[in-house]
Amino acid sequence: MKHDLKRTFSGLRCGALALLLAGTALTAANAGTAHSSAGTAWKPSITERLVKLPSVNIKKALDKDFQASPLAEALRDTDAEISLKLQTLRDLQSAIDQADGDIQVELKHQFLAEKREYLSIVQEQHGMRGKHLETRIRVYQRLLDKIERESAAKSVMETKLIQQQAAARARLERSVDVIDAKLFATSLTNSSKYSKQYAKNVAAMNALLSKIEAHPHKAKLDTTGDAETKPDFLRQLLTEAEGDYQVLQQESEIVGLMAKLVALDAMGLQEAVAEGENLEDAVVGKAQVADAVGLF
Amino acid sequence: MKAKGVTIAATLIVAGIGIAGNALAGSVENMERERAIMLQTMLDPDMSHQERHSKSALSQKRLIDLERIVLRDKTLTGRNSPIVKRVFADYDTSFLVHAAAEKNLSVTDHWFEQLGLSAKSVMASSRRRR
Repeated sequence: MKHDLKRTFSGLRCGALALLLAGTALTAANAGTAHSSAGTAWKPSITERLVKLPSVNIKKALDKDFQASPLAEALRDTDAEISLKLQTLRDLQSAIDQADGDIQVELKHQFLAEKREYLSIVQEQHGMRGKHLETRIRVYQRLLDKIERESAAKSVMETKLIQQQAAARARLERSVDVIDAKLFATSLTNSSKYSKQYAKNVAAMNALLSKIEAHPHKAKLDTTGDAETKPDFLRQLLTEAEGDYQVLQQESEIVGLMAKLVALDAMGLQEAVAEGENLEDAVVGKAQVADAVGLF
Repeated sequence: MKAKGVTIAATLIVAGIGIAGNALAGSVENMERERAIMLQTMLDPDMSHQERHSKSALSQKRLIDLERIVLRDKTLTGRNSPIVKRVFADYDTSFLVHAAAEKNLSVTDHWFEQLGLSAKSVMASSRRRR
């Protein structure tokens, strides 16, 4: 009678493991593909304001817009869920180490089920992060196109005028001291009110500029790096976003590997349960994954 | 803490507004008017030498500032209007006082030089019927 009960229990566990195996295989197959969750979107609009903003503020404005979006809200929720799930996995792992016999098998089963859930949440998070990065890349690209289109739309005459103005200003700056010495030393007596005020303001501006340069937080404020022009900075942001997107794709591949590992563990556990003996400890994956690696 | 954040944000916005353009309409027109007055003074045959000298010195003093105001006026950058285009097309004739000082010439001499007139060419000229 006792033997029959044990056999029935073992059969049920096998069925549950088979289901887990099937589910994990599905997770593995889907890993890396974008998950579309309804209601979590970020739709930034490329307004004139964004185009006209100084380089430093473009990223900040976009970040602020994203933080207020439903997509960011969903990502925050998912982050919290992942950290809770990781805690559960850690707890289960330490419980498995301390348990033995049927309880250990049961805990291992639960551990695998939790891992599968963790992977499905991570997969969902990756889908949303992918959506975020794709949108960001699209926005930068469109901004860059818009700025380049606007500069290309400038007529030849306008470009020539800007060059002439720059040359005239440079000529004035080159000769202004010599001219001052000549003009004010001769018939035109001392300098005018405008000249005095202008010189005073320039001195004040220089003092402020040197203070800004020496400010310890200046580096934090200046996020433009080496970029000198707005298109330069946008290209830099675009490169960063593309890099983040590629890293995310890599992470998705890692999730795929994790899912495969969970499937193999489930298979092993199923065999062990069927044979009525405990499995050896699961081999820990060698893939370099941030927090969760040790758990797999 | 939140109020502090808002205050900082407001300060930043105010700073941003402060940096925004200080457009002063008509800097080119003012300079052109003064230049025209100075040239008129220089070429007026009915004026005494003394009168011409004092008036032209006053105009030159004003023009020094006006020329610098135009050259430093960032709102004119890329403004494709005929008057702005004409002013920046030729530095030597538009910014007369500065260009003359650069060449160590009087404004009158510089102006005639720009027109292609020199004492030598005037002396070499002859009256004849065309």
